[in-house]
Amino acid sequence: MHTQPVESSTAEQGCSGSDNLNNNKPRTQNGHNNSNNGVGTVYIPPHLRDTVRLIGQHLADLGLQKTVQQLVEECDSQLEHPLASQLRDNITSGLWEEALEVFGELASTAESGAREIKYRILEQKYLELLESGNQMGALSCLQEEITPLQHSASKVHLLPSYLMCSTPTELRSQAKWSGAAGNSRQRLIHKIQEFLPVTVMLPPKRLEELLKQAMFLQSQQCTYHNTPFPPCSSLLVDHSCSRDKFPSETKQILEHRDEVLHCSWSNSGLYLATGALDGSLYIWKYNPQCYQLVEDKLIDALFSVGYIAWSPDDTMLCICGVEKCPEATVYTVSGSTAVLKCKISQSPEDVLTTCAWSPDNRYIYTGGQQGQFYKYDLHTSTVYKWEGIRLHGVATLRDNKTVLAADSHKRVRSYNFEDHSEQTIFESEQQIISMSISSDEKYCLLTLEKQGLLMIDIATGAYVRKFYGLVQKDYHLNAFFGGANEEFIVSGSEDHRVYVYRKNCSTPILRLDGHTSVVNCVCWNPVYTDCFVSGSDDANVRLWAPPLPSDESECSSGTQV
Amino acid sequence: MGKLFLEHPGGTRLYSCAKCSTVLTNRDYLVSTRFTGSTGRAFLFKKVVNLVMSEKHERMMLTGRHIVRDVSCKKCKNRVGWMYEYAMVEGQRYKEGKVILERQLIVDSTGIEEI
Repeated sequence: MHTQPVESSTAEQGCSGSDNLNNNKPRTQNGHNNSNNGVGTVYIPPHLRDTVRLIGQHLADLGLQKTVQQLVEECDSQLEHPLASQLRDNITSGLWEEALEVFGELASTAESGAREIKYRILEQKYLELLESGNQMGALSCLQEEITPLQHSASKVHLLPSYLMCSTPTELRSQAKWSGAAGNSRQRLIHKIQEFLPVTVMLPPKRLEELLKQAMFLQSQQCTYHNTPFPPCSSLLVDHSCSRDKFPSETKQILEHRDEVLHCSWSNSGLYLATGALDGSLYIWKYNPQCYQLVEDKLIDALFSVGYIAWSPDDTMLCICGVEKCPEATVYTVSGSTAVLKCKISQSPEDVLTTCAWSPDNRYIYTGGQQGQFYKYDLHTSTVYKWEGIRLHGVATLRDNKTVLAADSHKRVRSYNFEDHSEQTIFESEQQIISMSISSDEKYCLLTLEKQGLLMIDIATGAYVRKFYGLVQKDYHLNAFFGGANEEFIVSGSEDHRVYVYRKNCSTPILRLDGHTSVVNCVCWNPVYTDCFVSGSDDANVRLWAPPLPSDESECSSGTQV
Repeated sequence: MGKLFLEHPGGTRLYSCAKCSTVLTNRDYLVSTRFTGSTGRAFLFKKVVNLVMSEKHERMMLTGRHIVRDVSCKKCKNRVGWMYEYAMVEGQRYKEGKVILERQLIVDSTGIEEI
């Protein structure tokens, strides 16, 4: 990519400012530079020169060298420092001594970063010598050039061991190196690009990086974006998902005989459990291709089903009652029928209304407002108690030790049954009705009494955002995170609607009509992220999915906010 | 009707609705025991939870004219007492915002030691 050397004195070290790359000849009135006889050169104003450099780099990466040559001539300026080009060429051609010399000119030798680069160039030289079978050359390189550098003893210690490798393949796998023919030279250039100032040598693939950032930003601002980041759509138009691809229409209505209080998808996204006031608990099998749920099993719990939790491996369910229910019941559901596995029960005076599984499928944490907070070991049937807490909600973390719990004193606290440590994470000003957490364990979502939803940052206990619009006055509502990137929040509401929020905005993006009574629970499918279900006091469960162009599908209007 | 959300005020000595045992308040919130309601003795509490309130009524009481609201248990809707919204007599201002629960309509029980 280099043409004739620049005339101005830019060969010193540490040059800065893209202006140094241009001839410092005076411009004529029509903007053309006289040094090339004023023919065919275009004056690029300073603030646009970086853009030209990026485009040049992009074209060069694509292999369009002739075009780049043309580009350099036409705007009469280097795309990067000529020494940098030389360095790049030297490395691509494997000319290590020349590379080191040029690099020395470019960077001050006192900097530790410079030593790292020198080491890397020598390391590449050493590995290539070994690969081509030149053991003596490699050894002398190691002894006379690498060792005197006195850099990174830990890495240098590994180098002699590669002398033992009998074949180049073995060398490559041991050193985790792709070889001279692989992309190792290119990667070395990238490493150098990161080290040198950007005006001397452009950071690698800069234009691509900028475009990726732009796409990411567009998807952040796209209201209905429910596909993984970043979007793979055209650069030509700003990305914006249409509502047609977003779950917003009822595809199916499932009927219970009584008010549906809770619903929960299995971790595989293939099964749905819904529980009602009359004690009926249905397990449905989900067909993601046609958005259909089919009845799979029916469990007749002998008490109203207030809370359902799937075990992390989806083989079991733990069910809690609404009130006056002293036990949590565990069923094995992996077979053809559901089988009662065990009951967690200590005293008939207990009330257990919420539960959560530990990540290893072994423990269940359960509790309620009467003051019970138990950790139950399924293998040994042992119950560990934590006294003095009235639980409103519980969730476990991936470390298999920490349990978060919301209590009657408006606090979210974390507990560790193993070392008996506890701490308060957050104190709310309103009563906490229910609690759930995001799968990345960054955020905790609280349903507050009368005040909508509150999202807090778990690590710091900081208040992040309130979501309002939904109606809560008297009843227990459940809200959860969901969507392809868990960017959305869904909640029920006492105005009979399903509310959908985007995590970064306090007002709802959708209010879905359909139910004819309080919507108690809305749960987003964790795997097939284009659907969610809602359960309501009207005894129905509705499956919501993107509107398909089919006439027979059950339609229900939704209000776009 | 769905799953009603009921708060728990905590405390070691609890007072609950006599009909459905929903916990309403505790000893720490007790202000005075020297009140009388239609069913007999009544207590004044500074904070009571899980109540629904009626519309305002102007009533003449032993201590003067007041604006009150009848209060009922949120769960079973049984009447448990009243709350003072406004006291026309200067010296009765301290009652404003507080709730009277009639002794016959509540039951007491022991709570737990809480963290």
